[in-house]
Amino acid sequence: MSDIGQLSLILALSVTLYTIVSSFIGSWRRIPELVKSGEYGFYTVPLLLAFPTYVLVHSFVVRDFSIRYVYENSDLAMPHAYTWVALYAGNAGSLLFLAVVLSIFSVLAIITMRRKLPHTTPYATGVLAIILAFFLTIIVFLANPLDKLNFLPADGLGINPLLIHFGMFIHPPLQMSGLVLVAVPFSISIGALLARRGGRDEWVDMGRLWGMISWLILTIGLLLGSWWAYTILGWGGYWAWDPVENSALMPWLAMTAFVHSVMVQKRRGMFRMWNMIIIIIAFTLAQMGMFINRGGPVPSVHSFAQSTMGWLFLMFMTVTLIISLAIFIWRLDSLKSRGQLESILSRESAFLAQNILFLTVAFVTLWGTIFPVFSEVASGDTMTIGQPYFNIINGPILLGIIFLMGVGPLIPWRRSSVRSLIRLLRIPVLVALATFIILSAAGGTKLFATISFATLSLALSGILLEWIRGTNSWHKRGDSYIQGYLKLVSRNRPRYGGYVVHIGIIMLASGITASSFYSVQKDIFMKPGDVASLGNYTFAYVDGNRQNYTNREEFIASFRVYNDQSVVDTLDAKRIFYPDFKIAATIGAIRSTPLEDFYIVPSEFNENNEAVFRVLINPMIWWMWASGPVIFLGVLIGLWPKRRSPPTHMRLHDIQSQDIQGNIP
Amino acid sequence: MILTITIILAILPAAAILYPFFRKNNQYIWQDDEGSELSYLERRWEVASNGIRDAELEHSLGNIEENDYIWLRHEYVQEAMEVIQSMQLEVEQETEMIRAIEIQLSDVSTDSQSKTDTSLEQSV
Repeated sequence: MSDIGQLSLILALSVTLYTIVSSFIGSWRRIPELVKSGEYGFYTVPLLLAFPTYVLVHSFVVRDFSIRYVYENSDLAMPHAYTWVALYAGNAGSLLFLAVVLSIFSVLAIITMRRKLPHTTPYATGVLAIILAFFLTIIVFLANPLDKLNFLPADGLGINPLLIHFGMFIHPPLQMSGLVLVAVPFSISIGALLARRGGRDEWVDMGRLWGMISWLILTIGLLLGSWWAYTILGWGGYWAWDPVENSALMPWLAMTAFVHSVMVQKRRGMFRMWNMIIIIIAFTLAQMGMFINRGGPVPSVHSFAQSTMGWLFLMFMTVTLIISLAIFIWRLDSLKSRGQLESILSRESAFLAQNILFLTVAFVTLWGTIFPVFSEVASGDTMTIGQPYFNIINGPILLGIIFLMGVGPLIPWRRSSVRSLIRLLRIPVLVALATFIILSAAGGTKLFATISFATLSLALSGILLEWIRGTNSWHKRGDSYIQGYLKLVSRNRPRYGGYVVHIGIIMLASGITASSFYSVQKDIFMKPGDVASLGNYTFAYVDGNRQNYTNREEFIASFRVYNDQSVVDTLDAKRIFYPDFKIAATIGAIRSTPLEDFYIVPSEFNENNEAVFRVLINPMIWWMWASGPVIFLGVLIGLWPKRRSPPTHMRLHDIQSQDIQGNIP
Repeated sequence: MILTITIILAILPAAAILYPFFRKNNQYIWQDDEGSELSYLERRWEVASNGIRDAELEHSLGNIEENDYIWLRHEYVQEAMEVIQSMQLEVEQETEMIRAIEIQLSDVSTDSQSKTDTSLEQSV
């Protein structure tokens, strides 16, 4: 079976290479048969990749350790449920996973755009095929997950124990998918440039749609990654500005800038060059993420798909960057804006300012991430940059972004007046001031955190006030408040979907602010029977248990947690040691409420089940995890297809007979 | 079994690749053009009609001053008129397009709905 899987991989690569040639030559020489031939061939690539994926999954299920990848990433003790995780736990498997995801979404993207962008689609198909061919070439020639060993081991080496976690079922696939899917809006935009269809905003709707999809997947992937780090890495935090984390954050920042600024192009015919540059940057940063994750030069605590192939990704990134910039410059004259900034007080200006801030954070993060490489080259010593650098520089910039998130949507397109803005901001500013005063009076000693909460309250109140005004407006026309609100949202979906996303971001930022500034922690040595306290919590170490399994030793410490004398929870904190890997995973005992998390994480246990426990109270972290579904809902509302009124739908056919069609020269 | 799978795997892409060469008419793929004047006007129309709709929404929400609203509305109506003129439509078709905006405006909560609709038709 594995031989047919190999054959199927080679066929997938061959068809993809054919698609590149046929799409570009067919479009250039205007041969529709060739274009369609490449497109239809490309449609079969997901099917061709499904077979080797099936073979690999089957090999995991039957524990066929003659397959090198199965041998290296599983063992007899691995629960079958983790076959899915093992599939992408190593370099070769994760590349196959990326190729499958890219092929499926490429086909979906082509199907969604081929009628709307008939001239752009073949070029975009060609670009997507180039990117897919890169992955497939590596898979076929350098990192083949179906390669066989020349001996048959009795057992495998086992999966990385840190991946034995529920979050690993969703976080890595979403994170990898998010990174690779930046290729879709990138291909659409480059395809439009190549087809000479980039200068009149032809590609913008499709670019925005696929940009939003990619952004959403990246967002959820980042959140789940933070959740995984929080619950299993055992240090009580969720974000450490680790290079791998940064490598996922940077394209997210660029894509966030893109999904906003592309709206300006759609509505005003502006930022045409800017959007091209941003999507090129986002794609480059996404590739840099894959480079760092796959054995790049930057040390990371959890780049589990390490390989020596990082440099291939770096080369591909450099080549695609140079070529896409060359295409951009080649078509530069067609990218002049139709509109212009008519006022500083306009939504366009707010978007531009916010774009600049997003990209600034991305480049500050990039510099902090790659600085160790430069320091090594310059001085011979590797100097790493710690969290304070990122927090001190990025913190105020992110605060500026939150401020713009609150103010920007209140400013209309094109122009507004100072008087109007003052009137609109009057109540949100009062709410922000009230928040500042209340928090300061309540003992808020951290000035930056207090300012941050005040800014978040400004953003939230701005949104809520607009909802109230809109709902009232419908209520005056006879609808109930609930009906009015639902009508308001459902009939202005992109706008109010965006607001829902912003509420999700406010929840996320609140959690980050509170936990960053008001988290308290204590390291306590405890033996069974000991009682200690932190904040309002008193906790008793009831019992310690050890359990030995074939591949691991588990130490479980049971706690009874009291708040104001009454028992509020019983918690188990675990430390699991995997001798074969010499890795210990700590599963924190977490009592999570919207107000705060009570978190206990053990260090090493001695023979009397005594250990040092790190105990933390992390305020408002719950809101970070709750923001994921809210953001998802917002994007869903925003992207929900628009109801098309019959006259709009009919007009193209009505006027087509009048022969006003003309092509761009 | 293995042979069957191999044959299917080989035939599937081959059939997909060869099919367009045996199909009679493939020219349809470039029949429409996203870069055509018509498509461009269609996008401008969408921008103008959404602009009018947004101006109404912002006005009904109290987000813009009266003079900004009048200016914005005028700009977007002007844009819509230019598009309609460029399309060289029959009177009924123009009416139908205006009605398309009216339908969109009915989605916007505004107290001055009927006033706006009437004035829009007068403007055009």
